[in-house]
Amino acid sequence: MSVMIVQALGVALPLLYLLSAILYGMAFAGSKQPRFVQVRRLFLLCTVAAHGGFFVAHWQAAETLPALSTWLLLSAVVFAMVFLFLIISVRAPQPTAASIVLTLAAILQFLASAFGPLQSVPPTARATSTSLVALHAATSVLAAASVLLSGVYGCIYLLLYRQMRAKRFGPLYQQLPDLSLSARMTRRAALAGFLLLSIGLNIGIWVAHRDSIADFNYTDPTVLMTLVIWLHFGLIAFSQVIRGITARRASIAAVAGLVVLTVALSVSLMPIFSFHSRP
Amino acid sequence: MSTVSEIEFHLIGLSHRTAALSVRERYAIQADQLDPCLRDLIKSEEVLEAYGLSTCNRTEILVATRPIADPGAVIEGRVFRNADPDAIYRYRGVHAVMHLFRVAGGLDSVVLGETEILGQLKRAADVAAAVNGPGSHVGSLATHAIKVGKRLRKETEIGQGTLSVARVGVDLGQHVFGGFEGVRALVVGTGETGLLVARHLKDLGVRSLTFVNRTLGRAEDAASEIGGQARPLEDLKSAISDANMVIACVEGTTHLVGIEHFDRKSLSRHDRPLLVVDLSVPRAVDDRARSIDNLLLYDLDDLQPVVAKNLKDRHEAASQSSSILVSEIHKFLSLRTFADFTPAITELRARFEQGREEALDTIAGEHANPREVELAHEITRRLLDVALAQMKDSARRTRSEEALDWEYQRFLNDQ
Repeated sequence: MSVMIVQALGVALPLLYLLSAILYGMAFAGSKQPRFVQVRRLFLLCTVAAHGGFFVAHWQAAETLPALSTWLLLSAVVFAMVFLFLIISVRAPQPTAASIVLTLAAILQFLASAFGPLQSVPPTARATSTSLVALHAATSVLAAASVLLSGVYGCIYLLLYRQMRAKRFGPLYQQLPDLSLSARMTRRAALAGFLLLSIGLNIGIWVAHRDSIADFNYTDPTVLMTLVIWLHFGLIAFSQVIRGITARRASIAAVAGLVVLTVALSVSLMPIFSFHSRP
Repeated sequence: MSTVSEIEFHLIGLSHRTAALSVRERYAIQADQLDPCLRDLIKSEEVLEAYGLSTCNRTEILVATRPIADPGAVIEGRVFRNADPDAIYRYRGVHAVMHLFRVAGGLDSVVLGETEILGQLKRAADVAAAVNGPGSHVGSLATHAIKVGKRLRKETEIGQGTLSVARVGVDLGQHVFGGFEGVRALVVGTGETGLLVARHLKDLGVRSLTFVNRTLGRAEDAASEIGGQARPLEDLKSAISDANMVIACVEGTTHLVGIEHFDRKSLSRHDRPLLVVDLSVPRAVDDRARSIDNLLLYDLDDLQPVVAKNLKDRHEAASQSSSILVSEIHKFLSLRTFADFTPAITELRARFEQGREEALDTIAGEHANPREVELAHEITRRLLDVALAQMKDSARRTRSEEALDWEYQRFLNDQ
């Protein structure tokens, strides 16, 4: 039964995120009716709940944490990113930002669903070894979600900045959040990612040493990539006090980080590249 | 005695569409004169109630009369004496309602969709309430008109997008800074436009306002009048360096703000871009400043298309507003027809209650079970609800929306 739910939701989730993105994207068409706003919010909440249900069903089917499969990890990052965005946007709804976040979520979830093992995941010893591993996984997933959000807000900043430089005062200009908010969100999300990654990284290294994982080393692509991303988003987080890094430059860096992270998530965790995903 | 729906509305007035400013000035009614003017009108036999609206663009008198009365001579004699007949418009019945709803929606304004009219209508309604007393016919029409005005602005784009270039320039700040609470604004030039912009910025709640002018005295005058600080032209570079937003409204000087006035090091330290809006003719800010990173420069040519687009959007919204207007007119007229049923409803309710009490006495006598009494009350209430629903339906069907729509189009064609 749980396997069937996992399979069904695995197919449905990218579509649900895509539909959510379309519903939020309809703000461009001027759909501001209170009932429509409620419907799209409810739809997104249901999508997030379905995603939560996916993990519960998966846990029941495979008896392992989703974070130990590359593609399920990606799915967990998507879940965390959308969940964080929902929390952020409770006070100030940002339909355009939501449509961008949800489009990214739809793409990443499509990758996770298309390539991820939906039926069974080989349980690994590390998966359930200690609560520290769970904490390492949780902080890393949240960190990845935060830096993805930072990249999305950086992208929004650059979009509006370019629109304003080009004097295009069309629907995109009207609907995007202001530059100040985007710059602030880019930095704050980067700071959250930086702090969470600091915790996750240290726990991971400590666990690797404690458990004497044979194939762990500091030149491992995952470790190196994570360190680079950690430093990169650390710079973005503190860009306001670093001379010469304007909000525009910080946004470019965040978008670059977003691309790097997406590639890193998709490639470096594959068993052939890293110790991290080997059973 | 006339029933509610038999009461006739008449609206007589002149506006920017029919009269020049000099004529409008002559017939404008000062705020303190409106009350005595309306009281004077209701003294006449023809006028039951009166309502007056006087703004810089229109003077209009709306009166409620008995069915066959003609208050034209009274109003024109007392309010529009010796006015050119061509400058005066006269609307009666549903056309008076249509006109007032259009006025409330800003569809008859100089600046299409402007919102100030709602405040003016509200003030006029307050004066009319004092003159006519509560629950007047003109009062209910004015209140409904204000509701229509609000609905039109909420459900269409009629009031969206400013039509002032200066405001468009300042509003760009909203997209850069989100709000103006943390904005340090610099206004270069203290002419008419400069002062207008400064007041608008002050209203938006900027953190600080600095004035720079060739004549320091004028900058100081502006600073003391609006609030802020004045600095001499020699301090322009450091004033720009301290600001988030620069608005140049200089008359007759080319490139008063040169590229050398923008401190690139200072700009690179700024987290947000420096927003520079040049409202001067000829342009006061060197166009080469556009190439500076972290600086957004706009001149009048950049902003004019925004105003043109806003105007186009408002015209489109105005054409879409007909259905809302017609439905509101229909609702208003239906409510008035339904109000005619008030005596019948009172009578019906009394009969229902009497019948219920008689039935209870006959069937249960003095030993009526509380549950049976409650049941009898509920049945009576439900039967009455059915009767009221039928009455409301019949009031709605007195005049169809299609017929009103046709009437409204005819009204528009006659304008």
